[in-house]
Amino acid sequence: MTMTPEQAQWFSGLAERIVTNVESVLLGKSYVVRLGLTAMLSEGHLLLEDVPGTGKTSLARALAESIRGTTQRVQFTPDLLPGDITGITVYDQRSGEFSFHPGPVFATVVLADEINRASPKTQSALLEVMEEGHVTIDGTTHPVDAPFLVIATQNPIEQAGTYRLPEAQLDRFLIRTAIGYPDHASTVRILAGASGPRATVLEPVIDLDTVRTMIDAARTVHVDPVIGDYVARLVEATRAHADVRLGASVRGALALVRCAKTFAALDGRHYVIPDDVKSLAEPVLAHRLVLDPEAEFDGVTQASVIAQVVVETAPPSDRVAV
Amino acid sequence: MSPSPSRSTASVLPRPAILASVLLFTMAAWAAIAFAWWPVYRDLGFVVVAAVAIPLGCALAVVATALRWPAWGLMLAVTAALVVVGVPLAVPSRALYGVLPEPEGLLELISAVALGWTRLVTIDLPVGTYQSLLVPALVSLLVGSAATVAVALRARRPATAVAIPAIGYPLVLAFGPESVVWPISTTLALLLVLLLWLAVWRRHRRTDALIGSVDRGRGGAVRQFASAVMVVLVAGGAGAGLIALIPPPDERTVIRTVVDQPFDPFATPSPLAAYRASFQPERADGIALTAEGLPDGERVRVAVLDSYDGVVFAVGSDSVDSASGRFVRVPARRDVPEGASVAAVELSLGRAFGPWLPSTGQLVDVTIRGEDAPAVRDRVVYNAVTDSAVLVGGAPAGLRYRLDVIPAPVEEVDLSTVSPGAAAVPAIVSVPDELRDWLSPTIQAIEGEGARLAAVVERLQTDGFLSHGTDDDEAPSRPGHSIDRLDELVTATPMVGDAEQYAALAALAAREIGFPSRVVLGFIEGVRDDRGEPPVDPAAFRERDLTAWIEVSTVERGWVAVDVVPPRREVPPPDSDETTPITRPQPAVQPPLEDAPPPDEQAPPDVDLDERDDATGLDPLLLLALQIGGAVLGLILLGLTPVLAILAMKARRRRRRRHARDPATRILAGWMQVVDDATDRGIAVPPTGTRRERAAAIGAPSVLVLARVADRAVYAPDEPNPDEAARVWSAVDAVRRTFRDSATRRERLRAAVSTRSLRRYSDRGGRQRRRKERG
Repeated sequence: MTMTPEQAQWFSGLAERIVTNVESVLLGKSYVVRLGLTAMLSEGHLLLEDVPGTGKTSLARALAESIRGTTQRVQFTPDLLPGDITGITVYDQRSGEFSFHPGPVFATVVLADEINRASPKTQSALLEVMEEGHVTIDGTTHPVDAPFLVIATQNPIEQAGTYRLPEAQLDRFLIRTAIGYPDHASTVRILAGASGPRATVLEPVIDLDTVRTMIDAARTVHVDPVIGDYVARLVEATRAHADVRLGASVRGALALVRCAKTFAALDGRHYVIPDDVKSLAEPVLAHRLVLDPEAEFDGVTQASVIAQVVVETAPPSDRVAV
Repeated sequence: MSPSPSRSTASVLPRPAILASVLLFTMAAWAAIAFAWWPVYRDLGFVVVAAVAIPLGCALAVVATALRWPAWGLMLAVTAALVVVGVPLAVPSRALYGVLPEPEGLLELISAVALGWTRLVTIDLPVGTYQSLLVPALVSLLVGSAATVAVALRARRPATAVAIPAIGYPLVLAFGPESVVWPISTTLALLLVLLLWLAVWRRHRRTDALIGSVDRGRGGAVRQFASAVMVVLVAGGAGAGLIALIPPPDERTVIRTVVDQPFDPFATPSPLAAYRASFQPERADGIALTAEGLPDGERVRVAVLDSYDGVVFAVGSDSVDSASGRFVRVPARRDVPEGASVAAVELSLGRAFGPWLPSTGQLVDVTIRGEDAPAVRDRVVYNAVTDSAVLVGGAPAGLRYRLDVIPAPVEEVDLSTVSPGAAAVPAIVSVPDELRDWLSPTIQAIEGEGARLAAVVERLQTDGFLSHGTDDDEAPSRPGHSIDRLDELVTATPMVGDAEQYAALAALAAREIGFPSRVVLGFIEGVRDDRGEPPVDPAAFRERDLTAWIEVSTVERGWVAVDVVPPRREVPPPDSDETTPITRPQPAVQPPLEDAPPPDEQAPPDVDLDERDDATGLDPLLLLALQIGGAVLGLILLGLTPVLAILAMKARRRRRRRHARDPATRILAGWMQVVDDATDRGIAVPPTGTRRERAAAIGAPSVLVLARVADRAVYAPDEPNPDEAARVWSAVDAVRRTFRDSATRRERLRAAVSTRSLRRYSDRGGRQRRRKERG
């Protein structure tokens, strides 16, 4: 079943309402909000590599409130234990039974702040939930509700005393991006109180059931075979790049197509175009690359490699010789 | 207050280190190429040209870049520089005080820029500063270095600049000599320079690609240089080893090898076939030429003939794979081997010799006397293999000239002591069986090729009788030296003929024995025909003194002249029992090769074309006007042909697009039409951009809508309907009208004839992608 143009318009209208709602809190960051929404509607998770004070918590909270969901924030520290995230089973003396106390992952949007400060064991506990969609404790499986979005953050400046996320775990994040500081005009508006008081709760614009329907609809966006060919050429180019030791995986290619579908639907289209792929190539693929150490030493970044690959890989050309 | 934009050179030129590396590598690369030019000139004048041209070209390119001149500005600057320095450097004989160019010098310079290349490959090397032949070297070094620096400083990919010297080097080699000179050292030097240059550029490129660039440091640079040097050394070592194992040939094929030389002897009648004409009574006592300063026994060579096709002996040519037919122009003075003495001989022609210019010995220099001497001198061509000269256009009667020559040795050679040499001569097409029958009893009992040849010569001297058959008191003797005539010569009793037949027979016999041989037509100092009136001037040769001899190639003495004509004595009456052989008419000239133009034996070579009879019957002025008009019309049509072809191709493409088979294709074709129109109007449409990116580059809002519609037609699952396609083409027409209305007449014309959009689809990558997409 393929999405119809009418469904695409419906999808776009709802998404626009969410984006507008979140943007009332996070001024001037429409693209990041769209990426966050893309991650959630593509059933993926978002990694924000950003300095403190750019609105990461606001984004998570606003997203959750806009869809009538719950939000939890976990500040990752070296002494944080897996049970502090997933929850624990406690013996109840009165009833004589073990009861499960769910952890903060049982929320619609979970903000894992400074994920690289926790031990690898704790990181793995969170990443397992992200991948599997459930928590298993003492042999009992506890599924998390859908939609489920983890927004993890890393501080790219202070690296001392942190546990860098391994490449295999980075691959679990559908999208990596940065919010960045607002531009001058937005900063002036924030200072003038345009984003409202901090304690303000946003009015939800849709409910969780509608979000689940949107997730199902996003899967039905049409992807022409030449788009698949374009994506394949992009990931192959990352593997062949001289400065890359490990290029994008098949999972990366699948993630790019899945995000492109959602991105197209957000734009009101029931089909993917190369511009969707181009727009998402860096947030979806860049963090999956492992650079050659010498190139990394020279200052080559994952983003610069993807930028070069996108420039050098021609999109599908006009298909008929006329 | 914001700072006003300034035309700062600092923002145009790269960092000083990069600029220095560009200049250094450019000069090094073109210096290596200058070494490849050296065998062509071998003169201090060329060194001066290279020393000025390369830095000058580099400087012009730097200045043009710093001052933001467009490409045509740089071209103008280079042209101006060429005009200023061209005459003093490359045509020094036309510069006043060695600096100020004369008007004739400028004309010669301009002419040499276009024609010097042709002259260079039709002249004997080295040429030194002869005439304006330094101009090609000046142009190549000046333009090449300027282009290299300009590309390095301006191009988006500066490394492409190495392509210019990389292409220039083999081109310069192509204009050089066939003999291989410094092949490894110059190639290795250029390769090293270019590889190092690429390594430097790679480093710059990587540094530029960095965001928040981090300098790789001196260690990285050193590693890269070391790697490049290592690659060159390994490649050079492998190449040298390979050359040691499989030595390259001593000679290579260059342009001069294959180019049509100014004189093709095979298109000229064989002078040996006209030999008997010199003995006609009315002509025999006429003065053929006068040679002063000729040592006794020295020979004056008119023509050297080494190719025999069964009918005539002729001068070999490239058509029959013989170096003897390759005549090249002679620069000022040819090299004189160490220890050789040079003699001067003054010659004066008593009659026209056709194109052949009588000469003697080994030519060093020729000086033409009389009016228009430089122009005549420029027409002299020479073949060093046969030591024979030709005056292109014909050597007229009365021509006086001086030859500086290395005289040929005149001592007697004992033929029995020599053995066959290895000189290359054209193969003989056929040898008469009767010759073999005649030869066999003469040589079968003799050991050694030299002794056999001596026996053959002796037999010709004893059995042969000399008769030209032109005087009443002479025995009958048929002219010609075809197989039929030579059959008659060896089978008749007595054997009667003259130098034409005896030389031809002896040359064939020498070939049969194993000696490379050739027939030489000319005069011998001290040898005169004893009939007729003796000349008043002892230095003069009469027509009847013309003779022929053979030369054989020997291991011991090189080419050795052998006189084979028997002395004149009374011819005994023919054997009455012998039947008179029936002979066929003899052609006076050799038949042409299959694809060679028939030689006009009746027209003298120096005939003035203007004097030829015009058979058209039209008034010459009218004819001239018609010819000029036709030529102009033809040129106009020729010039317009590409324009008309482009317009037709675009119209056909547009029509095909508008009527494509299905709505989706028509929509896509409409989009392509807009992009092509924008491309032809000079809008930089990104070739690897998506439709929306291209639409953004084009700028018009309606084009963005078209891009969206085209995207939907291509990528959406549902097929568009025909009405949608019609609307798209309406929009396309509107966009094209907008383009047209916003352009000046000149811009519209340029867009109409632009080939940018046509070239866009001819790139290989594009073809491959389209083929792949069509499945």
